[in-house]
This record gives sequence, C-alpha cells and structure tokens, in this order.
Amino acid sequence: MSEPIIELQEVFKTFGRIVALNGVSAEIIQGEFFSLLGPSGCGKTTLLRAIAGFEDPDSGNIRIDGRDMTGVEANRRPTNMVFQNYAIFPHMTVAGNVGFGLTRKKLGTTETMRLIDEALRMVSLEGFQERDARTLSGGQKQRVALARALILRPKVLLLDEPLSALDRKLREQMQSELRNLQRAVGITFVLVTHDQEEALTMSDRVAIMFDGSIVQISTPEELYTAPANLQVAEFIGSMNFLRATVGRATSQGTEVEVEGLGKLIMASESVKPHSAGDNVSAGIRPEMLTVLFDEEAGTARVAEGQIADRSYYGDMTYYAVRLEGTEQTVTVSMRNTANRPILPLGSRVRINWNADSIVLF
Amino acid sequence: MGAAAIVRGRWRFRLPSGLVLVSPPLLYAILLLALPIAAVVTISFWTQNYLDLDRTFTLANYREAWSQPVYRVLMLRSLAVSATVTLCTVLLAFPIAYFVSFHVPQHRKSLWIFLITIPFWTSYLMRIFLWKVILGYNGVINGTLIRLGIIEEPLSFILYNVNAVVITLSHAWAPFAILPIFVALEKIDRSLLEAATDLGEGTVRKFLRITLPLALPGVLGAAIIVFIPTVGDYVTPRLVGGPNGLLIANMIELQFKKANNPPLGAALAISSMLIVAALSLIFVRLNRHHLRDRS
Ligand SMILES: Nc1ncnc2c1ncn2[C@@H]1O[C@H](COP(=O)(O)OP(=O)(O)OP(=O)(O)O)[C@@H](O)[C@H]1O
Ligand SMILES: [Mg+2]
Repeated sequence: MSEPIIELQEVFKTFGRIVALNGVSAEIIQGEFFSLLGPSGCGKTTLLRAIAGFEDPDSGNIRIDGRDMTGVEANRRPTNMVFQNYAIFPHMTVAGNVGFGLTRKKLGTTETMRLIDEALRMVSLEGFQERDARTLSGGQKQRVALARALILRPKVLLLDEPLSALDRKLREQMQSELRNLQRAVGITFVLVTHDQEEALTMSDRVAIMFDGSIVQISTPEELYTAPANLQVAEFIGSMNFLRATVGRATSQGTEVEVEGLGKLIMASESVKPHSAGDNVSAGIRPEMLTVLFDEEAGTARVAEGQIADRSYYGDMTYYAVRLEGTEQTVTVSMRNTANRPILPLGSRVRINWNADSIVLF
Repeated sequence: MGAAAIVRGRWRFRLPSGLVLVSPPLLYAILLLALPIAAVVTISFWTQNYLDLDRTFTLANYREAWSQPVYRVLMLRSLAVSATVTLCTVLLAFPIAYFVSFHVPQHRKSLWIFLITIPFWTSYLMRIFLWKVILGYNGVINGTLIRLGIIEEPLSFILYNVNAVVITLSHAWAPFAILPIFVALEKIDRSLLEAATDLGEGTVRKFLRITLPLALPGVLGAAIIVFIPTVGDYVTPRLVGGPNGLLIANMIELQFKKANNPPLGAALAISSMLIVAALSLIFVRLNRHHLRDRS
C-alpha cells in the first residue's frame, strides 16, 4: 500500500539567476492526496511542472511508478494536469474537451461516448456534452478540466491551484467534492495551493515549501501541532511566541522558564534539541490558551493579564492579553458559549495553558 | 437637482461632440469611397456616343460584359491568378508568422514585425522592377542556374507570363497576410498547447488540433485581405505579365482610356466587384460553417 508513486531526488531547477527548486527530495505515496503548500514564488508550480514534464530539472532525478522520467516527454508521462486557468479548448464542445486525450487510443465512437458520459457523471456535469466550452462558468470549466484529465486514468493527477479562481462558497464545495472524487477513483492527487486551510482539510499529507526547498512533509495534524521550525509555525495558523530559557532536567521533565507564564515542566522529549541555558522561543497556539471564568478557577496554573484588544468572529472571540509584569501580549481564542460573556477591553483576566501544546524553537 | 442636472448637462454636451469628432473621417469616407462607387454605378448604365455620353438608362453594357467570351476569359484568369496568389501568400506567410509568434523571444517580436514591413518603404514599382531583374531572361535566377550548369538555355516561363504575376504579387502581399495570422497566433493561450501535450498529443497533432483551428480566423482574414485587392491589380500584370498575363483590370483600364468606352469599363468594374464580393462571402460562410461543425 505504501509504495511510492513519485520519487524526487535532489531536484534542482534555476531560471537564470533565480533558483526555483533548490534540491527537492520527497516521496509521494500511491493513492494519497498530497499537497504542496507554500508562499507565492516558492517553486510549487515549477515542481509540479517538472513532474508533469514541462520543465527539465538542471539536476536530480524524478521517478514515477519506478520509472526514471529523465528525457521522457510530457505527452508520454503517466501524469495528467489540471491547469490553474483550466486551459479549456475554446473551439470545442464539452465532449470534445473531455474526449480530447481519448482520440489517440482509437476506441471507437460508442466506447468513447460511454467514457465521456461516465467522466461527466463523475464531475456532476451530465447532459453537458454538446455545450460550447466558451459558455461555461468558472466552476464548470474546472469540472471539465478534471474530467478531461481523469478520463485517461493517469497514475498521478497534478492540480495547480485549481480552486483559487472560484468564489468562497464554490471553493468550499469543490474542496469536499475533490476529496471525495480522489477517494472514489483512488488516483494519487498532487495539489498545489497557497491556501493552508485547503491543504489541511483536503490532504493526507502536506509538504511545506519555502524558497525552493521542502522543509517539512507530514500529516495535517502533525504539521499544525508539531511544526518543524519557526518558519513553518509562523506560516501555518497563528501562534504566540514567548521568550523562554531552558532550565535543568528533572525526573518529571525539563524545566523551562517562559516569560509571562513562569516556570513550566515540559516533557524532556519535546525539549530535546535544546540544552540547559539555551534561549529559545516558546510557541503556543491561541486555542491552547484559556481565559478562566470565575467558576472554572481553581487548581490550574495561571498567569494574570489585562485585555488589550478584542476581535469578535461570531463563533469565536480573539483576545489580546497583556501579561502581568511584562511587555508580552498573547492572543487567546475562546469559543463563545452561553455561559461565557464577551469580556470588555481592560478587563483583568487569568489565563491558563496546556504545557503539552507548547513547542520550543 | 444638483448632481442629476450636472450629469444630464454633461450628456447633452457630449452627444454632439461625438458626432463632431467622427465627422471628418466620415466625410472623407463618403467623398472618397461612396461617391466614386456611386459615379461608376451610374456611368455603367449609360452609353458612350463617340464624344458624349447618352444618359438614358440601359443594361446593354452589362449584357456585353457578361456575354463576350473575352471578358469571361479575363475574369476567370483574374480569379485564378488571385486565388493562386492568395494560396501562395498564405502558405508563405503562415510559417513566418508562426516562427515570429512561437520562436522569437517576446522582447524581439515587435522588431521582427517591423523588419517584415520594411519592403513597404520602397515604392511598389521599384519592387516590380527588382523582380524583373531577378526573373528576367538575363536575370539573377537564369544567370545563376546557367553558371551552376543546371540549365543551358535561360528559363522563359518565369517572366512575362502569369507565373511572374503570381510570384510578384505573392511577395508584395506577404506582410498583409503575415500580420493577421501573427495576431491570431499571438492570441492563442499557450497553456492550451501544454494541455494538449499533457493529454498525450505530439507536436504535429497538437498543431492540427489546437494551433491551426485557433489561428483559422487570422488565416481567413489574411486570405480575404490578399484576394480582394489582387483581383483589381493592373500594374503588375502590365509590367511582368506579358501578352498572355493580362487580367480583367487591364481590360477595365483599356475601356476607360484607349477604347474610350467608360460605361463598358464601369460595367466590367461593377461586375467584377460583385463577383469578388460574392466569392468572399461564400468563402467566409463556408469556413464559419466548417469551424462550427468541427467543434
Ligand atoms: N519560466 C520562468 N522564467 C523565469 N523565472 C521563472 C519561470 N518560472 C518560474 N520562475 C521563477 O521561479 C520562482 C518559482 O516560481 P513558481 O511559479 O514555481 O512559484 P509558485 O510557488 O508557483 O508561486 P505562486 O504561488 O505565486 O504561483 C519564482 O521566483 C519565479 O519568478
Ligand atoms: Mg504557481
């Protein structure tokens, strides 16, 4: 099951003086939904195009399904692509577009029609066969592009930001449809996106790219809870960073002095690369901090603070809390429930945290 | 009041100013295009009586134009020459336009297009004489071929006949064909070609299935642009066409001048104009139809 379908080894690609891919190595597993996530210009499209065969790497090796792809033209690779602008052929009907790649297979009209019907059903476009491709909406074009690629049963489907041109509602709908489609057909999907929410909700595994390199490949949960470095932590979601100093190891764990929160005991495991005396950054997500309401007060360790700012989102409220005795402000997110009032600015609050969810960098 | 009045005031001011703006070109177009055509149409229904014009309405000129074999021969020859020139020009222009659009780096393209128009800096007559030098009995081609030992006698079929007219006109009209084809090729979204590659097509089939159909409007435009004016050309056949290379336009010229029969010349001119217009319309229609069927 966990056979790699794509193996990338030290792939380099430069455009003049720009290094677009700086030694990318990764394995993409047969049948998984894999996302490439990173800021604009980090090389995601270049990597995808190198896999598809549209860019020749300067050095390094790309293998698909165990075959070295060096020198294999794009039209001979077992991959198909959904282009960012969909690249729908404007002089053809929907059926002409979807069946475009089939003509080479010489299947006969009946079989071709049947496959086109089936592919259109898969993307919920039944009855669109004779529609002029130019008259389609953005979402429909996207479905046609999907059907056109999937009808060829590629080993890997490559998608370059396929949802970025759609409005929010449609995008969310297509996210789950795409996910379901991938499960149904069992084809490996490689999705390029700069939308972290999209990557986290849709993928089995996510690769984070910065400046032409992959810095972390992991499941969405791991990516969120255990980012590999400060850069990833800052990129994914929001995180509070507090100055901290590593103390000595004890039998219960390692002591860490965190500014504003005081002395904590952390599992030695999670302190690992740092040693006593190191100045580090302690990262904690806003939802791992809790404002204590009176009735919840009690045993937990707390820090005192004052609400300096507040953003209300309906289901959630984000408080910026200035910690007592420091210049440090942390963001705390609270789910709004019936017995929690929205606190006014300037309120004095006590906050509590979960030491297990603190990550040191 | 306030804003609405100002807006309405602006509109009232703008409408006439628009008309005023287009009126000079409009007047120009009427004076130089519509009036002469109207004059030719009118004359074609009159009769020449030695020195003066008989202005009673008659269809005699058209009867003659459509029944005399000599006019039919010249008309058919003109159409055949124009069709050949159109075909040659478009076949010649397409690879050039394709090369500039697909293989010249973006920042060099305008330079290339500029260079292609350079022949237009010299007068058309000058270019015809150059072709005479190239194609002539003792011309560049014959001289070279004889010196290389490929032929012993100078070739005589390349000047003072229809071939020479076709060669000269094809060269002269090439830029007019290159430009519309180039524009059509430039408009093709390159990701469509990548998509076709991605779906498994090689270079040739990609060209036939994507590039060519999408460039077809430009090719049609080029064909029409070349076909229509070459039917009316009379300078080229006069200078390089020899006795058997004369075309309908030469006959029209003859009627207006030496033969002193402008009404017949006008009837011939109007007839050939209608034939060309009809053929062009049919051509465009057929291709539209074809395009729609393919999709
Ligand atoms: N054909 C090219 N010629 C020159 N530079 C290029 C070319 N293609 C990409 N680049 C450069 O390579 C780098 C990576 O580009 P790439 O398109 O892969 O980024 P990306 O991660 O897809 O960004 P985005 O999210 O904005 O699409 C960029 O700096 C870009 O300018
Ligand atoms: Mg991109």
